Amino acid sequence: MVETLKDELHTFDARRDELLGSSLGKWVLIHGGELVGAFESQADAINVGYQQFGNVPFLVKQVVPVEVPQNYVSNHLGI
Amino acid sequence: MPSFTVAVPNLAAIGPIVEIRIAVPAAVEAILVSSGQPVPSPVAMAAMIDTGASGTVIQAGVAARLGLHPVGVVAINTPSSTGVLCAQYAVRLIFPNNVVGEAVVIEAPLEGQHVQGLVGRDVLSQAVLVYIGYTNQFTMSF
Repeated sequence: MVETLKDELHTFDARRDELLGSSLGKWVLIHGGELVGAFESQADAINVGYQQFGNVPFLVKQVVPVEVPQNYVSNHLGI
Repeated sequence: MPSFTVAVPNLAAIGPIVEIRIAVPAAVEAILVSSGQPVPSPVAMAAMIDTGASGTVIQAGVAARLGLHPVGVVAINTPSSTGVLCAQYAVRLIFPNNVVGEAVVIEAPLEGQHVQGLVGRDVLSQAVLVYIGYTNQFTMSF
């Protein structure tokens, strides 16, 4: 399902430097390759995404200089 | 304070496992109701409270059963891999005693496990977890 957000991820990567200057620490909402806005919280961005676009794929991602992966120390995940 | 207590036969052996239900988030439910579409029934699963998990995980395929689409992508590290990209979904978590919360979770395969979900530190960051090993029970309060 990550492929579903390929265009949105491309947009985020292409505008990362600009966003680091303008929206550091905020959560951006990207839909269909268009940057919709930057929000104070992940929940705010997601709610705006649902309100504007409905129940469709969109990308909400925090603007940070270095992304820290989530860690799972047990072997429950088949990854 | 909303809370629930779970007692299991052997807490040390099987771990803190709780029966939860995964439902569409309130925002999606509102969209479906306003457009006259049916709201999918919540999906029940056994989930482990996992302090070793950064985030909450649901079994692959559950989001599709709920008609949900991804709202994010995050990289994860596991004991056997690093930097694997996983899709994120906004969901509602329904615990026993009708304790309800919303979270952004990842989907991942949990085949061969005795659980279909992990409740991670993202949810625990909003909770108090009391693990009473000698009575084989645990309590979560929010």
